Amino acid sequence: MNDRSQPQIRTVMNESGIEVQPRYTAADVEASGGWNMVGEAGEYPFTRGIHKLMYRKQPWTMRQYAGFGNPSETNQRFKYLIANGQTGLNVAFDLPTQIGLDSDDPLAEGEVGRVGMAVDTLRDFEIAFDGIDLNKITVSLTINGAAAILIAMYLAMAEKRGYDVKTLRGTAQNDILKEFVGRGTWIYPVEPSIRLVGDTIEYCAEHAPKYSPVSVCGYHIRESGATPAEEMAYAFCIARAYADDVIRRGLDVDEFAGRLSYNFNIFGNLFEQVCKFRAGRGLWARIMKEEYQAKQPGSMWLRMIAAGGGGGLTFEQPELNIVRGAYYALISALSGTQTMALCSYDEAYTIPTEYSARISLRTMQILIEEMGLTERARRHRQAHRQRRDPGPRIGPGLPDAARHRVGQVSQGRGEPLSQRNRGRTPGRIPSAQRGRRAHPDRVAEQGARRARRRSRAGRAGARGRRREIRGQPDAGHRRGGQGLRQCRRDHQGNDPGLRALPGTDPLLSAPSTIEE
Amino acid sequence: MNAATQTQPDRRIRVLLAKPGLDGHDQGAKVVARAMMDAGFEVIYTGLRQTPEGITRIALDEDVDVIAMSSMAGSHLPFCRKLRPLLLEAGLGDKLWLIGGNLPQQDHAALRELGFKGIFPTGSKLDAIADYIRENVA
Repeated sequence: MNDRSQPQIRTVMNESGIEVQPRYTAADVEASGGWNMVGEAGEYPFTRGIHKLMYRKQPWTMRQYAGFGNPSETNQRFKYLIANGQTGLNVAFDLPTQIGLDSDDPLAEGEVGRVGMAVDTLRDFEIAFDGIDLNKITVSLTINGAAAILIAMYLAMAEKRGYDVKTLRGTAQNDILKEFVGRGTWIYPVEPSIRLVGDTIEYCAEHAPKYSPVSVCGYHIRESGATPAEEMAYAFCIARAYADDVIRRGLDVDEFAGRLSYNFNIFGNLFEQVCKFRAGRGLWARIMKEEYQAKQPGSMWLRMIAAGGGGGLTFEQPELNIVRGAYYALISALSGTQTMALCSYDEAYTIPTEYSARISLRTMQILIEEMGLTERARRHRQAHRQRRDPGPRIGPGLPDAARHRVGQVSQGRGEPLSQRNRGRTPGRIPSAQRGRRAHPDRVAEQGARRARRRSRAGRAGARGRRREIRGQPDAGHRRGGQGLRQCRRDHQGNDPGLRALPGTDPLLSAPSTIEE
Repeated sequence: MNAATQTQPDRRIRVLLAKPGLDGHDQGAKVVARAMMDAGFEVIYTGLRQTPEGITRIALDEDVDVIAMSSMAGSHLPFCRKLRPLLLEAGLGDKLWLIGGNLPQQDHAALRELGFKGIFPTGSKLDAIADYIRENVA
């Protein structure tokens, strides 16, 4: 029986382990540090956004992750995306390129051009970016282990085409520590890897000051099972490791910190995600100002790419991923991101097709064109409510949770450097992942149960739909390795390694079946 | 029952779980490894970036009953084509060969032909993998 005088409400605990109250008041704001912890948009500590006018001045950059097969195929996909309104490029490289292997290395067999574009030579870059104006479209290179070399190739390609590297914008992911913690694609041991990252930061600070040499990835750490608070904590610890390396070389923090950027993940509870970004902006600003004595506001900005993570998508009923993607894009816009790269509905089982990539692009465009997400400079409306209310719930708890984890991580309990040197990665991440995997898709499971009750033909119907989706026309899946052969012809006589490539690789003509 | 389990009735089923190729997506493999341990099997996880030669050698050295692979990045067919003759040559043809991960339907027949009897694509249930191993290690 219900006691009317004391209604029983269920306890709500978010993924980061913070209990969510049914309502928050001004007392909660005070308890979490008061209005100074929030501030105005564009002002320290930038909780509400790093720019005063935000999307009113300029909508977020739309930068879908793309690249597969050879450079010509990738070039076609780039042009398709640009023709459909994409405002930035986000280049996917195949695993041999990511690990620094040539396409004819025995270890690369079967992997060339599969999960991204194969790059062996500068010529490959020239083909991939042929006809694309690098001043109008900024390019993000999703490369880590081999980043120093590919940044050099990109800048060399741009110089060859007559661009001034001093004014060239763009980003390299170049975050090797998250490879050790969460993604597994490293080449060198930890210390020399960090030195290479430091080299690229130092080089860009002097020679390519508009280029962002690192995009620190909470994204992959979250994909590996971290909670939202841990995602932020690991990312900040990793960024500090790079910053410390560069400062040890004698650079001032304000000489490079303004070009550090971040890559974060979005899936899970909407409010927790939005708060993660607000809390993260404030926390990073305080770390830079108080610990690193940064003077320039730009050095304190949490500049980021954020959008849907593949971890929230499911193989079952993939059309539901379109709906999830739309919510992820909404969260991203509410979070005040600078750039979005939205996951595509088929990412749970293949490289996105042109069709699915266009749906993702249109999803972001709908927010701009129809939903009014860029009309106001600040979305969590309404300063007056913010003053009474910490805004999206769990606001007060999340910075503390993230700060606590930063403390744990940097004091050695999960410190990426020392853990790796002892030969193990943090144990918490896979265990968190396991809980999620045990219930991969409650929505699909419940829906499927209902469908089965209604109709015995439910399962056959689901299979039929999947085939239909797989069968969407996709020029990108016509793989022939033509570009690689072209490249071999071009280089015949001066590159014995490339000449050794087999003439036709039947594997390259197989349909792609990849996850990002 | 194979020779090893006959002479050692208490011996747990030994599962080799391998990550073939260059891909680093190992969360699936780690989740399956834990589930197989919970199911009572002994699990030997190889870690990342294993070659066909490496997997064969580990399978021999560890005297496993099951050779299972987790493939996420689309190189499963070329890899299994290289692995099959090595396993046969090493006398491991009587072991149970499994593969899981991102394996599109159209490749399943070819994988079966190569000797990978148990195929567990994305979305498979952990219990189904454990049950399959129990029923087929004989």
